[in-house]
Amino acid sequence: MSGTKSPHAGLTRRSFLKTTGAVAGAAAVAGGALPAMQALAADSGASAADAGEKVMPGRCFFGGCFSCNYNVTVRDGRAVKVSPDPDALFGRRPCLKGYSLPQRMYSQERIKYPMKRVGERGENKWERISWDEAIATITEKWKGYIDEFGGQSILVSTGSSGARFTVSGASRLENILQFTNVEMCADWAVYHGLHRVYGNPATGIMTAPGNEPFEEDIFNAKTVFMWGNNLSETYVQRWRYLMEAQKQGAKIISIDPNETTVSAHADEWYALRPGSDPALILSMVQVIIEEDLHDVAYLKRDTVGPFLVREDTKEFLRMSDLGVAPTEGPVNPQTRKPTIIDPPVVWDAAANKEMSSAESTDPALEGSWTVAGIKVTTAYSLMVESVQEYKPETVADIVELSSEDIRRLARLATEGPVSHMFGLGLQAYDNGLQFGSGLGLLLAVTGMVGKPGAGVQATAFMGMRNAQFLFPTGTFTTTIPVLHLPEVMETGMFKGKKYPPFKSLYIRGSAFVGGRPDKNKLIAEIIDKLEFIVCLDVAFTDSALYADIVLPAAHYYEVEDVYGSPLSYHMQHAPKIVEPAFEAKPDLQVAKLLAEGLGVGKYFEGDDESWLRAQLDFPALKAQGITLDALREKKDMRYIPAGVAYKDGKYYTPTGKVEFYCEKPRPRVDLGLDLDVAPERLPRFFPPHEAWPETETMKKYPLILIPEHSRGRFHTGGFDGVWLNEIERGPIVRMNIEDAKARGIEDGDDVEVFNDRGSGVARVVLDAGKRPGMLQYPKGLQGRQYKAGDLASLCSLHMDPFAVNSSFSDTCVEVRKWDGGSK
Amino acid sequence: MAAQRFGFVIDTKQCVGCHTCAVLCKSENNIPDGLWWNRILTDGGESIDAFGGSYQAASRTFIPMACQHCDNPACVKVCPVGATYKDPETGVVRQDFDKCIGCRMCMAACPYTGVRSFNWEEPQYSVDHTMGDADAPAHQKHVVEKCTMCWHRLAKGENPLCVDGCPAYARFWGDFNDPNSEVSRLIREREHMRLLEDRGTEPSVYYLV
Amino acid sequence: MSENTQAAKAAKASAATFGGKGLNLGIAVAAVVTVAGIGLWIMQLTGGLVQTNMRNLDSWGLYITMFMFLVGLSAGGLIISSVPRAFGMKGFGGISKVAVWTSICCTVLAIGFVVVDLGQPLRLWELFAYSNLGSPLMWDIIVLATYLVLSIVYLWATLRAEAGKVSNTALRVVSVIALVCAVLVHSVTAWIFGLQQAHEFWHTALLAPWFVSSALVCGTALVLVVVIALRRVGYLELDQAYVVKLVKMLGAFVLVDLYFFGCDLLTAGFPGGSGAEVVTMLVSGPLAPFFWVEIVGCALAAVVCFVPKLRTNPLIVVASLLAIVGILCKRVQLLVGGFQIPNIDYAAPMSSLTVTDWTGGMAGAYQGMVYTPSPLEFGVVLGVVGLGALLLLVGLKFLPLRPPVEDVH
Repeated sequence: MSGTKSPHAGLTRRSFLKTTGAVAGAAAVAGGALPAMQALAADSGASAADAGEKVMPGRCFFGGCFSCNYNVTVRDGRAVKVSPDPDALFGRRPCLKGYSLPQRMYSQERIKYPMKRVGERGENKWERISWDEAIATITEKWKGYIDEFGGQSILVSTGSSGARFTVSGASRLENILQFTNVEMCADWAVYHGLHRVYGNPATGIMTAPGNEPFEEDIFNAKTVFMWGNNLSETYVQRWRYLMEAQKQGAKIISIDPNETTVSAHADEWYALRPGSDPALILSMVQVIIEEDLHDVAYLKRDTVGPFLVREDTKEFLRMSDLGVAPTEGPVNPQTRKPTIIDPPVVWDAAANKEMSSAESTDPALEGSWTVAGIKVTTAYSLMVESVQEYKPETVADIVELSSEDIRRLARLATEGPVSHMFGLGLQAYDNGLQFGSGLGLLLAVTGMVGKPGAGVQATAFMGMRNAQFLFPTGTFTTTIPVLHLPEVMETGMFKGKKYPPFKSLYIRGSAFVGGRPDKNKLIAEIIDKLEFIVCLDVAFTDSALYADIVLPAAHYYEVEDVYGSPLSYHMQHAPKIVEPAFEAKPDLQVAKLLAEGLGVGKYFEGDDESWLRAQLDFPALKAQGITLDALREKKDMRYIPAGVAYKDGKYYTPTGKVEFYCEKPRPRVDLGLDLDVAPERLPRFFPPHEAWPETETMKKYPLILIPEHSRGRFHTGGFDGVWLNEIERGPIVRMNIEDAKARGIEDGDDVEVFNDRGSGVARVVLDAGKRPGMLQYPKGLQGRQYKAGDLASLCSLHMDPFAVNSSFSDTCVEVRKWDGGSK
Repeated sequence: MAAQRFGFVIDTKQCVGCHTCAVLCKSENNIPDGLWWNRILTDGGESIDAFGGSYQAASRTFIPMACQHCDNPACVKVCPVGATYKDPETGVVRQDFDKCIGCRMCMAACPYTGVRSFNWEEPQYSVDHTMGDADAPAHQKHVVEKCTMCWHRLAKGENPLCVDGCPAYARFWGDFNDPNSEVSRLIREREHMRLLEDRGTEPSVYYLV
Repeated sequence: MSENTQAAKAAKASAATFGGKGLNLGIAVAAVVTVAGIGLWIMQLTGGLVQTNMRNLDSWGLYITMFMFLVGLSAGGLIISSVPRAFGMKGFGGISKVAVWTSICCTVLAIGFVVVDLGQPLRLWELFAYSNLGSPLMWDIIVLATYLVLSIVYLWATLRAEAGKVSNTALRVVSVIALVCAVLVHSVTAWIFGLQQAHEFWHTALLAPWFVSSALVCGTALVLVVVIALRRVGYLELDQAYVVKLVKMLGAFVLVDLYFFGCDLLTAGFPGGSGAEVVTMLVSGPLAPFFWVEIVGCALAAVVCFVPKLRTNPLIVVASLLAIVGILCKRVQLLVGGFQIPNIDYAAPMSSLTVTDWTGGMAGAYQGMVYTPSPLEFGVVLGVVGLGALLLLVGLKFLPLRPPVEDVH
């Protein structure tokens, strides 16, 4: 335990010592007699090499991070420190999360052995059991459920650190057994909105229309819009690039209700009302068009602007409507059927008549006509008409910015090249999708895609997946969003059909409890009603607390792994640095044990390495020479080509154009709901569900509570960091001084933050940078780290049916001094 | 005067207060729990990270602070046994853990609040095995400690880790007596300040403002 | 009177021994307290100084306060006995030996307090091996050691002079040297604090003379208490006129000490700014109780000293105790006050090792007193004081400290 175990004190380089020693006498003049000599007298003892040390390349694998590569020092078979790798991608240096990883790896919160619950659920009483017993217990239970109710009766919830192959690959078992996959519903709204307009090159991945790498392209930007983005906390490795771009002349515009490091450094900061971003964007679009600043050429060439929209169906007029039979195109690799080509119709300005969009070279952008007896208007005209509702004078009150500010922002958005970067807070309202589609519209109107320095600066998440590996039997899990889960649980119906009852939950590295909205409701309506819960994780989280069997998972450093991270544009490799500590096992090894117990062991004949090779085995990677052997040698291999996206004007949308007008708006996840698509075709603003002045909830609970991505944690990852918790001590809630004064609250007071759904006790940090009326708390601590309650219990499971996304920021609360009462 | 005067330049315009340099210092030097040689101060509100002032007129600056390795160190003068002393070759203010008698005179003499820490008990760690660099000095109960300027790294010809490890690239290190060094250039070209200049300690840490 | 005389005679007859059951009991109690204190000290060393309430931002506490205080107390006896002799005045020859013995005990106590404050007492030898002669702490160690040796020499010389073995001139020379050393010891102790630019409250040239005046106050007061007590138990006899003389001196010293405090407060507060912070801290801040006890206590003591009617023995004892408590309060103010105003008070990570009351952050830590001692510290202090009492009582019992019979009348 004590530092006396440290191998030795002193120095290792004799030459360095000699020069110091030679002039040691001078030290006496300064003060002490012979101090330097004394220090040097100590023998330096064993050198690093003697101590059996080795330095290995390591990396963090937080799912939404860069997975910075760095060096890990291993001594006596254990990781002892992290140091930067001078050759790291883009000069990235690990942040405090990385440096504290070895400490967290051996922390008191690490799950060491399989354990079974002996007390009540959540009571935290455990008995250590063997792996054999654990696997036997689990497989026996599961076999029963599968036999009686089918695989769908077993829920599986995976976490954000599962983007790497050893974790994501383990869902092979869940696919074979056709479990029900609980989808996390986080951070999707903005991407779904953007994808509606700009399409998505790869389903299931959070991509945005922009160029890469950020670290090079940002220097091409003249103006950078930071939409609620605090990358100084969340992506600190990018900070110096942003600052350097600013030094080189880029103008940084921060749009954020709260003052942040970014807004403090920005050239201009606009403190808009939370949850009003879509209104601001639409107003900017209105101004841009009114002031004739829009990019007509881009709108005509790249967007659906000239497409004629039928007044009756609100869909595009197609050549088939004019009697031209559709033709067959190439086979769609996903549906394995030929694509049907039925081009939309435009009004050709030169010919002054309707024409196939595929043929017209001069389509009219604006206008209404009657074609083949059908009244039609261009999509662009419809959009222009729709944004007239958002004139700055009207919107000023909504966004709480002056109309002059809105006009100025509109003009700035055309001073290209313009880069947009957003944070994920402003889409955590029910209107978050509209921010995404609104941003798509702004990009379309300003033509800020397809050229250097323009577009959304790369923010893409989620790792690569190898379908062949994941679906060996051609069967899949059924995905049910967590926000919808209580309803399915209660009604026994999904998509209008009867669904097997849920019996068991397998939480695999996910913050199912505490990381999702409305913790209390999920516990009451899901956890409490399930017969058998298994949790596999590295650290003992709230999810583990509610499990019946807890299994120890291997840490990042304990298994060789590969991560295809779009944020880093590379396939990234990490060797096994140390043996799994205690009795931990990698997810895929656990899957193998479970599979054997469940009689499907034949799909898991192999080992960590062979599974890695199998997952890397797909044509797109092989074509680029990316294999395990190559990765082992090169550590990082570029797999997304660098450069400017969408230069060719082809987009991954149904029409291949930028669809700011969406013919057939679809929900992100089909829940079989009967949805009114009409209002969804064009971006619009509607107030957040709860956090908006006129709502009943807000009348009762007048403060808006938003979570903050703590710089020391990745979601709940890092709750166990001893050093991190010394810096940011205990649950805190940041609050404006005026709000506190009005409630007789002082800095450092313990307060109870509450609403109808729950409450949490946190220490108040008075912060003049916080917008009056808003509270902010660094999320990710576990329930037992609170004096009472949990701030994760305050947010609702309410969702916008098209976004199917957690509205973490759309939360109203009130605050009072805590009286010390218990939970 | 020392032949060299090693010291730091910290760009407070670039620093985002991420505490990485503080954490990596703990990691590298295996500093016991509860103690920090390097801490990030918030010049703003009353708590870490808080802005001071009022909404939309708020301000906040981060000041990473560790031993200032003063050219005229108050601590060195007062140590009765010379356990804290100025290395004549490098100007680094050093602390000999094996010699310190634990009188804490240096802590009373140092004007830089909290840069010196005392091991008030047997060093405590949340991890059972010894972490950190093998060459970092061992920690002893009841002696005064502080930033060593990563002496064990300097000895290997490396920079202090807080400089090489800053993810925002806000920290610089070098010889102020060498006019061609990066740190000398930075303080020639940029507006800067030093902490408690009025105490006459001549700190070797410059903050770009 | 006759009883006393008899006692004195009896004492003389039995050479040096004195006392009865009471003294023996006192010695026993003091010994027990001392042993208990040593036990607590060992506990402190093994379990760590973390058991005290000292922390990084308030790295000195009760021990150093007591050190300062005891150095001050030690002054009185020596000065009282040596001044008249040094300047050839008719003095308090009768109480001179007791006074010097008190000084010696206090000096040993002062050194004891430094030792219990050390983290590594086993490395004390380094003080001699690697002495940094530039450190005020080193100066103090040298001066204190010299002072202790001189006090013993002086006591020995006094005894030898009484026996006619040492000439009065020689005794006078020793007394002059002892006096210079006494003044030095207070100045140097003051310099441990006063030379530190780190703490505004300490960094003043006035601190050294002020320490001397404070030493005179509490030293005189202590002598008065001891003398009156010893006279009451019949250990010695002293004419009331001498007591009154001492009381008047005490009054004068108290006034000088208060004057210095006034000067200091004015100098600190007048320019405003950070100095005014110091004044506020003392007058109405966290240290106000100690400030006002000192001011009021010393003022009351002065009144007793200067109003002839009030100079009754009980009131003299009260006044002396008030003066002693006042100076102790002064020491608390000085020590805690030095840490009470941090130079850099920006918010920073805090742990239980950063500062005593750490949970409220930097702001919270300084709302009340930045430091208050832990029970263990009080225990160890009690132990050290017990050691002092033991020394004092053993001295009284076994050393020939009583005035020669001829001096009694």
